[in-house]
Amino acid sequence: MILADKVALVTGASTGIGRATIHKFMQEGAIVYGVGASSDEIMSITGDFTFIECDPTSEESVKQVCCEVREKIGKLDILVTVAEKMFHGSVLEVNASIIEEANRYICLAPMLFTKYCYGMLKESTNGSIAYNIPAAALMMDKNFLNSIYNVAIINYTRQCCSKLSPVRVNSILFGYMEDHLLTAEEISERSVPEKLAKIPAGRLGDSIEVASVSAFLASDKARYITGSTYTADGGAFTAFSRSMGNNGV
Amino acid sequence: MEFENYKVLVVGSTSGIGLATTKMFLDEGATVIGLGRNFDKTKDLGDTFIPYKCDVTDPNQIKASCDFVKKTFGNKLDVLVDSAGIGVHESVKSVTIERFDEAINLLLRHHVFFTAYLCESLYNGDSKDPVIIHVSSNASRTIQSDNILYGMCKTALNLYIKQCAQGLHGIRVFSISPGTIATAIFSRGDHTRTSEQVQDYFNLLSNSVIPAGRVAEPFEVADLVSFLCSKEASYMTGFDCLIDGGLMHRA
Repeated sequence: MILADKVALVTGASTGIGRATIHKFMQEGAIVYGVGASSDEIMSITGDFTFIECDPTSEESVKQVCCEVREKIGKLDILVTVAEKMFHGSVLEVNASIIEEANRYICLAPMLFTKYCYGMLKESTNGSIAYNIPAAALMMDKNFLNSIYNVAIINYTRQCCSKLSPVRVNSILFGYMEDHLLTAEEISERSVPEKLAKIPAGRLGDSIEVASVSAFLASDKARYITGSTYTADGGAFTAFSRSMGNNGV
Repeated sequence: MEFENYKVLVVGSTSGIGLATTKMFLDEGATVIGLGRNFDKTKDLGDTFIPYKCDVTDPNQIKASCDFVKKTFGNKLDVLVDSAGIGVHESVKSVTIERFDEAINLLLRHHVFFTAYLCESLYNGDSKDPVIIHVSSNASRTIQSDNILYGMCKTALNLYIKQCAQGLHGIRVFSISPGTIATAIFSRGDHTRTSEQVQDYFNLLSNSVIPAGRVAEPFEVADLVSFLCSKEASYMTGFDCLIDGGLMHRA
């Protein structure tokens, strides 16, 4: 069990990746706090798991969650963030309200959790933060808000890795997953043979395959890994001919 | 044991990251063919370690080594790790044709040809989850006018693994970019440091520019190799894995 005795906070708990991360971390021996919007599945998890309802875009709500963790258990070793929403709309379609909401969920939320969790994380012998980011951030896409604001979080990862040392800070880029934030229509669009043939892995992914990266990066074996982006996308974006930042991202 | 019955080739098996990787695979139940020139450090690795002499700058020896791998493993291979290489240090003004060619032959060419000659064997491997790992460097991400050849080759290597991921569907391919790892690279080739001078150099870096405050041991890179080759990394391919204690992105 690679996360034995560690305490973890996972945001976007009700999303596919959020739930998979919670289950994986618990399997690896961690005590887990899941936060965000609630759901039936989340409420039915048993074991060393606590759900705290939270608006990740509200500073008060985030601060309150972190205080509650401090009161309940007094320590935190791992923070994993997952945005609860994807944002649609092309450059000319969006309005201020959508732009600002995207910014709040994609940028503000992980920055607030980072700020308010840092005090506990720095007391850990191996404090670790990981931001889950859609790998689509590296591509030109009609739904540009996901791309631009997640690229900001890649930069933020690097800013934090030096400022927050020895707490390690990494990003995990995820590809098209069967069970995370894609609508049934989007999944069947992406599952046609011509599209799957373009993915080196030949298939969509399962959120557990992102959770396992999260677990490794949080573990003691990854102590020298910080400021990096690790990608679980079956090659859909990493090996795409016109992927941005084909060097070093 | 994570890699029981795996058939593994490690190029540059006799020291540093290659040696640590070899030991990791042997501990996890694999049989490892290890290429190198001086097998002093691999004498006691047991009979699941198969040494084979190879100078990776010689195309004939690359070919002969691959023929040996195919013959020994019955044209099956589960993992290829190529970590052979040392520094080749030239500046924009000092570089010569000979040093340029030397760098390409030592730092880039063999990665391409071990891959090309062995991809068929990798498709035949019994694990059904073949992996290729090419050891690059954080130098691939930096601009250093006094060390142009090493950086150029490593940047090319980072692109090459993406080309491989795209061109070899079904084989997961990575580069690893280590920061400062405690290996002999700092005292070989162009470097004439004594072991004390190397330690001083490590202490200097640890206290000044490495946010983690230390250099890493080779086994830490081997732990990353272990993760990448495992089922835990089943949906990963085609990117460069930085492992540098924060050196690249320090303020």
